[in-house]
Amino acid sequence: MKIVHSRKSRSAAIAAATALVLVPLAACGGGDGSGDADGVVEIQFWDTQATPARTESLNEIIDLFEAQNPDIRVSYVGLPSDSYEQKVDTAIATGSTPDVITASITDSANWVAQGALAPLDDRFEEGGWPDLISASMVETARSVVPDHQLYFAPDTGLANTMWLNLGILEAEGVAVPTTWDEFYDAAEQLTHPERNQFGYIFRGGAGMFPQVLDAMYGQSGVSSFFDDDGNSTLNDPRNVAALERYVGLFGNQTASADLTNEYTNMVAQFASGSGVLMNHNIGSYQDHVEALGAENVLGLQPFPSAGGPVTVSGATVLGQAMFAESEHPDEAWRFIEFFLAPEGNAIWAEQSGKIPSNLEVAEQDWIVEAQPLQAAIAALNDPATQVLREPFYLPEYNAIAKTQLEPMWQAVLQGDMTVQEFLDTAAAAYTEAEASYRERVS
Amino acid sequence: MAMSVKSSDPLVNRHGLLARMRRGSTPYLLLAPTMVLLLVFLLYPLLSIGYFSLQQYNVSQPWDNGFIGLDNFRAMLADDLFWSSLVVTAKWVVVQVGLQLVFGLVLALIVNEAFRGRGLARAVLFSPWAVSGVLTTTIWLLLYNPAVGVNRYLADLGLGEYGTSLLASGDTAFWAAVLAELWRGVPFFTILILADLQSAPGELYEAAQVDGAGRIRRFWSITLPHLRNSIILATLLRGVWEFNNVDLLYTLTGGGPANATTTLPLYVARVAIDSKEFGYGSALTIAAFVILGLVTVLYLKLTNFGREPNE
Amino acid sequence: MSTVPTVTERPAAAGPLATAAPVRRPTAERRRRELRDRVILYVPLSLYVIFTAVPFYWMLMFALRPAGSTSLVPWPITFEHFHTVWVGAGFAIFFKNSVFVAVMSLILTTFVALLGGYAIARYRFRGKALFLIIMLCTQFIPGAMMLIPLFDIFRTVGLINSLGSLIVADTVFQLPLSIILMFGFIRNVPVELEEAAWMDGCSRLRGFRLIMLPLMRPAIVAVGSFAFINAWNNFLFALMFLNIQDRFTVPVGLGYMLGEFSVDFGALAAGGVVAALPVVLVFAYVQKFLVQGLSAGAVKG
Repeated sequence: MKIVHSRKSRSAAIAAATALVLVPLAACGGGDGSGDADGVVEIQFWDTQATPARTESLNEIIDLFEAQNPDIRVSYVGLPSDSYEQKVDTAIATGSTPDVITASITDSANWVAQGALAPLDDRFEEGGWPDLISASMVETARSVVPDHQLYFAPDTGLANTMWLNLGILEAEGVAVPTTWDEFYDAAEQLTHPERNQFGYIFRGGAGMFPQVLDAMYGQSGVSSFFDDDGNSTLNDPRNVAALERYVGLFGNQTASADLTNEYTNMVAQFASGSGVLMNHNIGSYQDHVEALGAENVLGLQPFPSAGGPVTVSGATVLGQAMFAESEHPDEAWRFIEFFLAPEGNAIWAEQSGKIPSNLEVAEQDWIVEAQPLQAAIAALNDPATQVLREPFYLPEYNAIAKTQLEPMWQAVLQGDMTVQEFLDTAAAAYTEAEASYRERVS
Repeated sequence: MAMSVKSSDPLVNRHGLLARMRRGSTPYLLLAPTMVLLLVFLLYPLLSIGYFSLQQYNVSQPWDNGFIGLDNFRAMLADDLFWSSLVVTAKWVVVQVGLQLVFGLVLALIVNEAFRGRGLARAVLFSPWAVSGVLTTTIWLLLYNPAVGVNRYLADLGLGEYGTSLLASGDTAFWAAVLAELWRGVPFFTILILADLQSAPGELYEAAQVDGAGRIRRFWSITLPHLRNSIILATLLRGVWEFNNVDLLYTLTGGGPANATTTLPLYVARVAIDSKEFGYGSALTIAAFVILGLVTVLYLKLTNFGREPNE
Repeated sequence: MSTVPTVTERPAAAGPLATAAPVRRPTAERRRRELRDRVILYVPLSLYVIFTAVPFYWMLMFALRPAGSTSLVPWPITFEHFHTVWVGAGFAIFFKNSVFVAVMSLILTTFVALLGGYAIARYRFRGKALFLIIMLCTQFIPGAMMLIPLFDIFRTVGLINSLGSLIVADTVFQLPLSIILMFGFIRNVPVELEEAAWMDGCSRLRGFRLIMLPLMRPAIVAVGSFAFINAWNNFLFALMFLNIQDRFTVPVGLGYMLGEFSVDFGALAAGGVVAALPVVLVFAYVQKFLVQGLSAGAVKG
């Protein structure tokens, strides 16, 4: 009997152990409870590009916001930029999205296609923001979605920039280039592989497409991504010629390791002086200043193209979006507004080194003194400037660039594929995507 | 097999039918926590992968979503990248496991000897095994970086050229990744083989010595047969893990340059993350699962796993 | 740990590389042989130790030298990068969470695997072969597609946003291997040892506790350290199942440094050091038990 008894208790013990394992774990969950007894509403805020520096500025902004809005508490969640997409996709698929999220135009296009974001037009109007925020940035934000509504409030903008290490140019007596021809000459003069100095920094790896577009359309002067019939202009002969010339830089005026270059490596090269000229958006300004000192950093806007006009691409915007399933849309919007208002906008733009969307902030001293930001604003505001609008509204836009074009681009640089083949394939893919898009919306 | 218990179990005979039934349920009870955990947390995800493999399911293009039968699998057969990723995977697994085994075996034989500082040597040699794939990547990215990595210092000494990186060439990127993964993978073999060496039949070595058998002959005729089963098991487990090793390649090479390091599971991850084609990704997952299963069965058959060395 | 019923490691003479040195051999030749043996031993060993240590050194160098320095020796030493990650990136909290998750996963995994391994090794029952095959098959699945359904399940059972979800997830994925290891070890302990205890009137549970458990310490250390390391290193579960900053773990923090826009190599390396140090130290300590625990014949011999 004793044995039977002990066995019975053992079975019970195992069952209990199983339960014990699972139950308390569930019990210590929760914590996303919104709304306290004292009437404080908690909103969830996801940052998709978290780095220590960025987290610090966002926390500063949150502290200020909470001090002015004692009825709202913001719960910050920082997501690594390499993996936030998986997290957000899962959250959308399972209906567990936060209230507010930092968004780029590609993000917003993606999430709008999944029906996850809330349109902000009415709130934006009511708050009187159309008069206070850069109209072109708002237009860019709208242009990336099929229904042309505003799904994220643009707080900062980016522009592609040609960065120069002025210290090295001066030391070598090379003049600051003002045309594409001078640029190629400068790259050649500045290249001294034997002492670890290359004239230009090439982007062969992740995120290579903006640099390719800038080089192509900037030189060729072609002004739109598609022609009127919806055919991609990527393989326009002028673009092919432009890109062929540009590819000629690789391995000659660049390090051969640039084949797989992405942002981190590029900035490291620029900071260490092993690369002198670099095309990257304005977002890296702070990194350059920190490494080289403001006096050694120059940021140029695109040189005039063969046809005459300056063509800028990569004029993208960043901002804050609200998920449609937010239970506290009013509070979430108040937080988003904080990024648009002068105080928050200035902190955010200055610390991230981007162009502020608030018109008043754009006139502040620190902006006027920051040459690259000034140059970008001037180029964007110049009526003669052509702006290349990328079709971010195509849900495949980024996927094609990432999964198809990036490996092919590396094949081109390794000499396994011609520029013509590369651009033909790219053009075909985007033309097809555009065609099915037109079919859907018509 | 009936609901029987070990005949050597003394309790059965003492307590008759009742006890026998209880006894029969004991293993299930002991396994219950495992079963609950696996059923709850693994079965549903697996079923849903099966379900989605028959669907067009792309979250960024929801208007096309729906049941499409075997179209994903048909598309897979026509997908060049699927086939090339299979080749890369096979190369990756064979090279990794082969090199890890050779290095692991040699190291195990070395640290099985008695010498001064052996404990310290073991602790150092084994330590990379505790490091995660992501961290391994972190470290090796710093080593391979063209501007601040080892290469730059070698170039300072006149060895090699500036601005190059093993990761940035179609010819060397694969081997650069192999080297990084070897760093982390070899200790696993060393530990397993070293463990098995502890039970090596000492009498046989002594007999062999008396017979005048040389060191190399002793290794081939005694040590290796003794290690046979643990080598088979270790290579199998490691092969499966290396097959599914995504985190290292994803961050270290991203599958590049020009897809030279895109293995099948890495391709799955990129389809899921970059293209958001969850349906197609599920089909690829199933293909990977089936291929791995078949290869495992074949491997176990070919190696006669479980056979005692001297049978 | 002195009570561990270890089998003292085999004297070196039994190893295949060992010197066969009968006493009668002339001393000059013996010395020459010994020298050769030392060379055969130490040269490859030193080379491999260098290969193992250089990457660690490289990381330490970046972590300890000032930003922008190119010196190969981290001098002057700075702790600014550790300050950045520990305070700025929140590693202080992540570290605590990671320790908690890893220790709890260790306990849970070891306990459940002990039950399962014992069942498979000591009982014959219907479906045993199938069970073992399933265990092996669980290792075959590429994980990328599992995240959404897994998240679904965890939400259904109320495990989102708690460190408990990480503990369960880490345990689930660590279990199959742990059970196989436990099974192999228990199978090699002669059942007669236990039977003797039953004859003396012990219950099965008591027999297990008195006889098996002490014998199994190396196996428990092996399985436990596998589980600890795995849980410590897991990145994806923490990122996916937690929506509260203060519950994230060290690998997520490391993800901040690895991100597309982080260019701070010093902070990256410092984060790496924080992530690596505990596991490497724990591992350096337990490795000798690990060798015993994985040694199938350790108890037989």
